[in-house]
Amino acid sequence: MSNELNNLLEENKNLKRKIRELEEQLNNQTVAQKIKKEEKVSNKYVLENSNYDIPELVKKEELSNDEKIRYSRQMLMRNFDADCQLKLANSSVLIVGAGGLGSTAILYLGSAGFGRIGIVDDDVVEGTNLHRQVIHDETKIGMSKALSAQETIKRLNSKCECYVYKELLTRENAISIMKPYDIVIDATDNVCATYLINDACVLSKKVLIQASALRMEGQLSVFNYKNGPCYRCLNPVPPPAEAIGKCNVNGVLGVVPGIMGCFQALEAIKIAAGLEASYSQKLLIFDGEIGKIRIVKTRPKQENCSVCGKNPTVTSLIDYEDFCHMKKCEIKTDITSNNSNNNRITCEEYNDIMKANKPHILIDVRPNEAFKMSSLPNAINIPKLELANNAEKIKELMKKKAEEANEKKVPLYLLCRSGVTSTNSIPILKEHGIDCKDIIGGLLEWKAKIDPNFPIV
Amino acid sequence: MVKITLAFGGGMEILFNNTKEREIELPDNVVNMKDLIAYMKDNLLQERPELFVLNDTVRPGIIVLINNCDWEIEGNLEYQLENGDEITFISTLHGG
Repeated sequence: MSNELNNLLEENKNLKRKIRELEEQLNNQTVAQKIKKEEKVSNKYVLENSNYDIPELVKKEELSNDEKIRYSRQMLMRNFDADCQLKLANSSVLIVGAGGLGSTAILYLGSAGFGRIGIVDDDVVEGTNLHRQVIHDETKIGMSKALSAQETIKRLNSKCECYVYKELLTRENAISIMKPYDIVIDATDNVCATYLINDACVLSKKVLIQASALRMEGQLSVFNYKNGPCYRCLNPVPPPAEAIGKCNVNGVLGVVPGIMGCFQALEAIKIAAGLEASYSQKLLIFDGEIGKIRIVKTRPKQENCSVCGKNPTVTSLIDYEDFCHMKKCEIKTDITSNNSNNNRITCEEYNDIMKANKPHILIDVRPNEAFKMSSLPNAINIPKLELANNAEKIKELMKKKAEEANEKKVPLYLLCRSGVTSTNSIPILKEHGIDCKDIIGGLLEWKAKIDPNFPIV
Repeated sequence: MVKITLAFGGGMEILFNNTKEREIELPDNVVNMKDLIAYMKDNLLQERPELFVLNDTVRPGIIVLINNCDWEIEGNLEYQLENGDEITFISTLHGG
């Protein structure tokens, strides 16, 4: 009897497993079919191959009854009436970037009643995006961000025409892509794109709503609005490449770009509805950590601005990577890695050292927060900025380790995320008379070559 | 003696002891913004001067505010510091 019971239980277990597998297969198939179907259906609204012509937005004389009901709650306001809502229906806005800023901006602009929105993004949805890029979801991983955002908007507001451009905005296509739109939103994540979008907006006379976010901070301004300044008036010279922080290195709290994207949507709605923009010649500086919002007055339009001034030198779009020293930066990193190879070891070499239990010291020079999230088991954390102050401590550690191992000296290795910070840390220790090597490619390379489960991206 | 508040943001605080706001008393020879930047570089900056100064002014990509107003409107390097001023250094952000 018990034998029979056991057999039945076992059979039951196997059948359950099989059901699970089949369900999973079916689910994957429907998702794939769905994506394929969506791509086909939305084809008319996907613009590519340098063909960016779209029909002119049909201007309405009056809102339909459906529209009046749908938007009734925002048309009841004293200062935002039916005329304002009608202006929205006859307006178009282009959002460059469907990431953290773009997600909330697009959601609110798609819901607000704009006649037409355009979305530019060449990237695909990744799992690490989802904590802040709330227009996408788990079922969209691997899908084009532009298409994913379009799909969301179609579900949210089928009356809103949503055109998408699954490509990078460049000096070649920027002017043509922007042409049919009234307002442009910069929701990109890099300095080159910001200068490109600014210049293209000045050259094609579009209002620009620019924002950015990092860690718990955000900034926003409206440019090229009613004779106000442009981005270049405020920032004539781009920052040095090494001074620029990025979300994938410095981190960003998901809600912060969301807040800034909402501010962008608000400004776009006001401008399209014929109300006054609030942040022209003003800068909104948001600090979510200390709960502070500054709204500061900036300089007016600059006569000597190289793109919007009296005698502009930028009269067509330029090479923005060159302008922002991004090319130089890449080359510089290359040279460092080539020149000092005798100061470096590979991940494989370090793995051998670790496996053979050879006495050594490993210092992880990343910031404390990154180290806490993931690190190698035998690493100690001294962030690059604190190396100099800890030079004596490091010397003592090395001495102690050498004594323990009964050797004259033990090697010191430095490690970081990608191998750039660790290389740049070598001279700091050299200055204090400490010899060391660093690990080429850092923990990213470690993940690629040695441990695919290492939690770093 | 002139007492002012220094405020930092956008990552600039990392170069200044990770403090977003602090009060300082200025020595008598620090009278304008040019003096202040040199003083900060020599006395308050912890690391990497190239991320703060370039050619005797702040590097490109730092928004400088004098009492919450763009320093360009207030006279830039020549602005004469007054007791109670709030001087803010915020790095432009590029992320989203």
